Amino acid sequence: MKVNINGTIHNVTSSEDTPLLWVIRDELNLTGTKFGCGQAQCGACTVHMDGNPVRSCALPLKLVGEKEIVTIEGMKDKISQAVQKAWVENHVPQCGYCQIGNVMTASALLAETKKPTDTDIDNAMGGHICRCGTYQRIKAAIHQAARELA
Amino acid sequence: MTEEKMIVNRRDFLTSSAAALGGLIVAFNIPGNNRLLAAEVSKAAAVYAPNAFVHIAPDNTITMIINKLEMGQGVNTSMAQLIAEELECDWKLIKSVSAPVNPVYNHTMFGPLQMTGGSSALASSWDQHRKIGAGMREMLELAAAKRWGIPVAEVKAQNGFIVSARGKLSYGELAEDANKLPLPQNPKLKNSKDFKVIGHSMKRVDALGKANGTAIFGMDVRIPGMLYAVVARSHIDGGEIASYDEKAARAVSGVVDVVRFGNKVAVLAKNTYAAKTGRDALKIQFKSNKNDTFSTDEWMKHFKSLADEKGIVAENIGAVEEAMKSSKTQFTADYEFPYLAHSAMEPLNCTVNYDGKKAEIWSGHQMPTSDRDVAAKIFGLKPENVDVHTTYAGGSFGRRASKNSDYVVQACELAKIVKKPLKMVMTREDDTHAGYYRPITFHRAKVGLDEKNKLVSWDHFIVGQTVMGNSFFGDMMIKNGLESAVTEGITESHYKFKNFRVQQTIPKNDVTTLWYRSVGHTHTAYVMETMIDELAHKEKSDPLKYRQSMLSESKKHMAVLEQLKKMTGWGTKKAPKGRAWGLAVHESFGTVVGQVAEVSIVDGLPRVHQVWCSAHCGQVVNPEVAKTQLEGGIVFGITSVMHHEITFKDGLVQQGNFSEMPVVRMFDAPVVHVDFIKTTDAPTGLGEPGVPPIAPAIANAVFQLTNKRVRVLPFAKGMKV
Amino acid sequence: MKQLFIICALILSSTAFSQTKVKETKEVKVERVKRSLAHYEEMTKVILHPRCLNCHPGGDRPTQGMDMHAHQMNVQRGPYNDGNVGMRCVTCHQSENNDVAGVPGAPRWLLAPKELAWQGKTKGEICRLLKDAKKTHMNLQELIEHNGEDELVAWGWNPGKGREPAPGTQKEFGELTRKWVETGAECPK
Repeated sequence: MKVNINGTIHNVTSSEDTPLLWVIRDELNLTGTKFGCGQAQCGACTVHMDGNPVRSCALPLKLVGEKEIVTIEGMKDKISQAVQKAWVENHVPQCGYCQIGNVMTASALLAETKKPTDTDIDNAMGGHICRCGTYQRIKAAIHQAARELA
Repeated sequence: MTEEKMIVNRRDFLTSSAAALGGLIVAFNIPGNNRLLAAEVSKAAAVYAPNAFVHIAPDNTITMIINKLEMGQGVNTSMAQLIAEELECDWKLIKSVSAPVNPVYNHTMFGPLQMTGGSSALASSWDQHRKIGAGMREMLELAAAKRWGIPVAEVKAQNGFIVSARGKLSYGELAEDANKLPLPQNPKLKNSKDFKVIGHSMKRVDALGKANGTAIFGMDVRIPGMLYAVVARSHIDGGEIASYDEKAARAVSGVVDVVRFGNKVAVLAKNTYAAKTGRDALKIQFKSNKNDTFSTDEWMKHFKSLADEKGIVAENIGAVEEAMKSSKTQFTADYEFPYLAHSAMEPLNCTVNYDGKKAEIWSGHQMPTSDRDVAAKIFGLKPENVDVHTTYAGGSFGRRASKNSDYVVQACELAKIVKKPLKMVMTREDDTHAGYYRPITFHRAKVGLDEKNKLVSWDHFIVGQTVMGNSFFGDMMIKNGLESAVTEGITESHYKFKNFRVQQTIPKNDVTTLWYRSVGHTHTAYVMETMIDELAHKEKSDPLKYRQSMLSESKKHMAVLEQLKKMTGWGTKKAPKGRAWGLAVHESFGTVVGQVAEVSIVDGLPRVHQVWCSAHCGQVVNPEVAKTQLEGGIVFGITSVMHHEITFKDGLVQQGNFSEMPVVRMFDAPVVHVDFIKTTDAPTGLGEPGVPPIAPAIANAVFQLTNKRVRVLPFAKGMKV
Repeated sequence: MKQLFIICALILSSTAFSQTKVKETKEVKVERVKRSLAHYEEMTKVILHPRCLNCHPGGDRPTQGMDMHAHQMNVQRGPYNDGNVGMRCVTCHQSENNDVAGVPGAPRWLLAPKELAWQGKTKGEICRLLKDAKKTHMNLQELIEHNGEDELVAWGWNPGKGREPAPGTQKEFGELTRKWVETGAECPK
């Protein structure tokens, strides 16, 4: 099957029911996207599909089709760079395992909502679990990134 | 994906791991390459071996070798700060890598063992690491003075250079000369007022990699040709296999092999998903055994009945029984605490490369020495032929300090049979079902009050499953049937009790148990701080003033209570309508933490809106990182008591994924305000002490809102009792 | 388009009414109303089933499960009934059920609009909602098709592993709706 990841068409051999997550991680060796739950519960596996965040652990390869997938490795735009910088400056990551998913969603949020409110952020980020409890710093970092991008 | 790309990726990984330091980095080694590394290291004593902890490259970059696991608590940054402060190096040129296993990296307080735990990283490294930095600085100063032919008093270390009237030389340029000098035995340490790095919020060295996906966790380790293994296990270990469908597993696309080892069956495949699908297809059945009927409801009933019998006395102050007889009224409070799973974000995994002669293992090792030793034993190798690579850990909360190295053992047993590189991966459900839980515990507090409702006697009973039993730690740390990890926080309390007795009983079963962020304090602080609140209310005292009257001899507690009062306006201000403030203060791991939680009731459950937190933890090494530990401890603590519990029915764990164990998410997380007591005392713990006070602080607020004392946890259960 | 729907709805319902009105005796009417109400009563077994109610929430948060608890993760309706920026329905719900991940899915997974909230309403209130073309944006003929053939409605009987389906079949539900409409689409109080 063919799959468009980070602007490159890859021919992959994983079976069609394989969740995109494992195609990305195990076959294409892009390990930035994380496995946390396998049930779209935790958000660690979030990638973008045609610009929208999706949980790659609950997305079988066969449903991806020709849609464009972007993983953290492909996030080079101004918004995601601002988000990553804000993550560092606000001391967001602790163990860091969930943060890639958070960065992916935060970047998608800022792409559509230039100046998100606390509620906008709560609404966007509720699908992400962080066991280290970095939530208030994620929120602060999103606000900071928004300010820098303004 | 081509093989070539994978090898490149592996090299990228290796160059960032300490294993590569010997070969790939031109290192500045003091004093002589392996002299101290190879030296006889005294057991559990602080080691002063700079070359093992710091490498200076000719380009002046500094590599800090961190002998603690970076699992989120920030050791790769804060431990480096201790050395950097005294070394006077350029912080911007620092990187941190995880240490390999060597006695030189043993814990300075526990052991002999290289380990991370007990909120002790900074406390145990405070002197050792600063001395290492200072010793290296003095050698660099001496080397520069010699080169210039001037007295050492005329040179000064400054931001990675030695400067004098003659000019400046970089550490990189001086490294080789300094390497030949003797190690100063008593280097001069800075006065805290001169600190430029310690006490400052240096940016975490791991933050960018964790925000851009380049940080390597155990789950991300790749070895060319590696197979992925997912294992079928019984929930309570010991279940003998009755049947499994090997054919069905092999029929799954991508499955390479099915291997039975002991009472487990592994499915090995080309990718994790195929391995998981194959494992599920096994439909493994276990023979019935004595644990088939195990239920936590019955087990808790058994605990209650044990509290009616005699226990082993863990602490005895005054004359409890006589005082109880003299009291006017008595009341008894029974508390129930469930098993809890750590549920770190990165499901447990371990990668092994074993070729019959030597072995390498990769994981977020919290106790790399014991992980290595059990691996060596399984492979029949000498420990030095097992290379342990410690990667970043996607959380741990105690789980990776497995007293039996359980998941490392499983990966190695499998690798020994398969003799191919493999990564054993647990699914989220496997991780939840794999045991090593915070023990199930029952508390009974019986108190007697006088005619003014003042406390005269407190008779306490704890029935709690062991934390460290069934391991070599248990053999070391359980004395005369008493296990302090079960009673800590109730025993050795700072409250001035006149008559106070604690008894303990430790029942046994086959469910494995382990330390969990703040260990015994997860339940003892809850009991102590809700009881203290109740006693304050009984005699109509303000809960904060009551604590002050009972803790007047503990300066740390008093300072924290005073700071909390200032932060919240306690006594002058009040919680907004529909909300209440609950207070708790508790010492653990040498640190006193006080918290005020602002709580309302939403859909029958407490909702925590904001928390004020004051901590006395000695010198704060990195204030922002320190704050994150308390913020995170509070969120972790709320999750632990809101819905979380592991229950057994018919020998099976009833929970699996996060849907059955809801976790605090952003929208229901409180805003946390943290402040520290300013002090230059040596650092005490911080990773765990933020957890214990939050649950009782919430419960004390719930009492004000509902007039109900919640004594059965989690709240989702206890609010309905 | 919306206006056209409303006009059509008015024409259709008035025609149906006038046709029956001409011949209808009191006894016939009683019998017809009785039958219509009975058909609707049967329909409510589907309508009030959590599989259907969960996506017709009273507020802005969908519910889930047979106990109809608030959807985890702070899932919200959003401006277009498909979630908010950063967490739209399709972030997790794809075009088909995913039994491995346990995530349900169907084409155009989204919430019923707020004006069609069923949760917290009586059978009579829901009934009158169904007939209110301003809110349903469909006439009764289209409602028959919607109930009997819509692919998102179909999910109610194909909810994926581990979920109790709505009673009966979608075909039966469509048929019931047709009978209810043909008997005058009567509503209980």
